[in-house]
Amino acid sequence: MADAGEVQLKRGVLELCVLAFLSRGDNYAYEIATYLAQEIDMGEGTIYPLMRRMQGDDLLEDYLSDSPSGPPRRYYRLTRAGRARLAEQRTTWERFSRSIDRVLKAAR
Amino acid sequence: MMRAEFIARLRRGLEGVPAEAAAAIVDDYEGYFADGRQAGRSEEQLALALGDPAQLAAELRLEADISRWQHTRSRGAALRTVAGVLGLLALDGLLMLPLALVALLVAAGFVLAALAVVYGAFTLTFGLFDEPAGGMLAAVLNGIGRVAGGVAGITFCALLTGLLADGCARYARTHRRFLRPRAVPPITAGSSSHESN
Repeated sequence: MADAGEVQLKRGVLELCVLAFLSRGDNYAYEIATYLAQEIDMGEGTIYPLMRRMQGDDLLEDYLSDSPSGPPRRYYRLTRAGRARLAEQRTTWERFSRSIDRVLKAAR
Repeated sequence: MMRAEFIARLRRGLEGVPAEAAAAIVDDYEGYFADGRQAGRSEEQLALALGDPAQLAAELRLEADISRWQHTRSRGAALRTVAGVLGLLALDGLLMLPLALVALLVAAGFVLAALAVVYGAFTLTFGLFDEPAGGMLAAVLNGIGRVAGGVAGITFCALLTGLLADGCARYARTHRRFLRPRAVPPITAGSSSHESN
């Protein structure tokens, strides 16, 4: 089970993960939630507050689109600011993880 | 718990959120159930994966309050943020003593400052229209001093409320189990379709 430190760490990069996932193409909340639940073991329902926040920060926008069955679905796409944030956070993450790798290797 | 009950509890928890925002949130979770059913999961499984609807609603409400506070810096939003965090903590059955204590002190400060203003105004009017013991000038100056002191106290407390709201917001975002997975049943192979993307 995830401990508090791991949760904190994941929480910090969750936004980056949502940005990265949506950069591959617009998608709806269920797909984002189950994808991230599977890939990085986050709670499915708890993705939604994050999506709201990112929408509030103008990183995402939503639109309705017909679904093959049932009512239209709310899709999310990256805004220009969202794309910029992704590029910026990707760089930060890569630099950070390289540094940490170095530190961990040196300690081995 | 079935979908209908989950949504009903979520709605109840969202009371006080602007209708449009609440509808959008409910929409999200309705969509989650619809898509999950289509992917072959049961309503119980889906509800379990979402966790406690009351907790979820409290977090969403707090999220709305925090962003309102950060965008408007209005006093109402500050109070709602503080109240939202305290409400969440109560929901958790956990008491964040330091924040609660500061909230209490700030409230006491407001009351004291308001009393000083009232008392000062009283001394002032008394000094102007009556014959106070120490002379009119002394009473008037005394009154003005108390009113000014009270107003300064209120301003200071307002400032503290702002700091308190910032502290609560930071606490909520960094320490809350905002995104902790709770009792998430494993997603069985075939129940999700994104591998095919």
